[in-house]
Amino acid sequence: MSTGAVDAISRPCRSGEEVVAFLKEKLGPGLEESRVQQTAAGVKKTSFDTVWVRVKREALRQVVLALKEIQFPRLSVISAYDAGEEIVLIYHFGIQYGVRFSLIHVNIEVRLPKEDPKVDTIHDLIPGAVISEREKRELIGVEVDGLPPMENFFLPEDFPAGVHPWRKDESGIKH
Amino acid sequence: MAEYSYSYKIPVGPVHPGLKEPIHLSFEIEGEEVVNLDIKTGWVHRGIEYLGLQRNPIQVIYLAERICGICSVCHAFCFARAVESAAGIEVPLRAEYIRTIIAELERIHSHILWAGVAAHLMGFDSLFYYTWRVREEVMDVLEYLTGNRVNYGILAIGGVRRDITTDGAAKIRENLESYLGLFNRLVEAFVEDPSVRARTRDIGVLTREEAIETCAVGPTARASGVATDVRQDQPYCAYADLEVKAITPEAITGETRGDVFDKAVVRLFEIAQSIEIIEKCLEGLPEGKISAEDKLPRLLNQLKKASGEGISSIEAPRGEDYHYVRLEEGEANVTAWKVRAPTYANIPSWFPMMKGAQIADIPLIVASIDPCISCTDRVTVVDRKKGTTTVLTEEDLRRLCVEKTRRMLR
Repeated sequence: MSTGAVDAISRPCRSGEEVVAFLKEKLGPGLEESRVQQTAAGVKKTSFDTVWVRVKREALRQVVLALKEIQFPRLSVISAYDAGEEIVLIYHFGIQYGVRFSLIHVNIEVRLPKEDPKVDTIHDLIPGAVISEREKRELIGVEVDGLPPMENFFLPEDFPAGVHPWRKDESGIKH
Repeated sequence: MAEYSYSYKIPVGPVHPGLKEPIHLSFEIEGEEVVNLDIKTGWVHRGIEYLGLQRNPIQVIYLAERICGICSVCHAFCFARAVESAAGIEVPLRAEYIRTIIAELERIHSHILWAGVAAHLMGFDSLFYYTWRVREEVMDVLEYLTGNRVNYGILAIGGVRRDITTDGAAKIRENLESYLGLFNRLVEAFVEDPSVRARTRDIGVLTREEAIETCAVGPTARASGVATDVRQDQPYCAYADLEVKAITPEAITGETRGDVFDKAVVRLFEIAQSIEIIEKCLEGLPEGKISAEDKLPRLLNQLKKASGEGISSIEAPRGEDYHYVRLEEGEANVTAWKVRAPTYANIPSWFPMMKGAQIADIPLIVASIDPCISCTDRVTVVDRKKGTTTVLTEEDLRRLCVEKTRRMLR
């Protein structure tokens, strides 16, 4: 891989622990919780790490910038679920892709209180995030700060405003 | 809160926009050139994730399988791995190998299917008939192994439901041999043929930078020179024992342009790669159980007690497939499920690919990421200079595409 390429790995991390240590250094108290999960595969039981981190929502953009120092992160998707008082978002990033045995998935959890379900956009940092952010806005009612208003992407145009199918509260789907 | 009607029950939830489903593409054009593009999807939003949350993980397998009819194993595969990761279930090695074999057989039929679609769009219908005829052979093998042509029903949480017998292995080998012979003919028809090359070269270009920034996956990213492949980057199942190398056009033709031609090259050579992977899997197929737990009530009980979250990322024919699953103790159903199919990730790459394209190239570019082809249905063309709006059907677009091919061949 040429070093000038946009997907060059500029700061290699050999393990999930190393990724966590790097994020801790970058985020300080913004990082609330972390764990590293190991998965083995095949006859030779080769293993790979998966990183799970919970950060304060103010630290989200910092995480992306930190990951960018390792390699331009590939955002797979943003997962979301209704956890009662809060909405939980999980940003699934992949770093160190393109090299055998080196991809590490970094899952960043951000919890948003329902009375103020607002999160900063990351689409200016990772253009590929737009569709996923729009999806969270439509389906679970997260306000994405900095994402311009757009028509519904997944839901029909005439879908009632204020109804968010993934919500388990009164703004969800009624049977 | 806004008023809405309760008179109907439509479970709305996310399903990815990569199936046989209508996508609305609104192009802004100047003369013949595309200057802007807007995409709207959701007409076949079946709310699969929402439905999944009303079911237990074993039931969700069959739902996941129906997300896509073409890559019908990869979603069940990905979902099962995410559940296994959340619940800490270890899959027997033999099952891991069988999963790999089925997934690779699926890649072969999916890539051949794509080649046929591309040929049809260009107006080379004899090539289209040929490719789809030879695709039937692998469908027959899949049917022999699993009982079904599509929606194989072979995945289980903790393993697979059917073993590959000696007979099955022989059938696979016979099929692979036949495909090895066909492969050279496909290369001749697609890679070495001057008219296919002329029709697809420098069309729908996605640069390496654009591929990275739009988070493109699979052959779409690889054709732009991003050597990423989950089977190489983070080998799972049997891939951990194999040397899978991401195929980029540079390794084959000596250059990477990120156009439709490059995407075809990558997919074709991945057929050869899949043949090799399956051969090695059959050679090294470990003995033993095919499932961690075959008593379903016991498995359900174990899953009900499990608590945790898991992700799974696998290389589907169209690129990385990604599932997130959350299980909570005492809860029989899946409590959170996110499906991210490869086309969901590849749709943003249409924006840079379409800029500057001609209307007659739209079908080829749309097809180049290998989404569902009926996606080209209902395309609106707005001519800024004339101020008119016309709706082109899929057939109109294909006609334009074929006419351009004919003009080029004259």
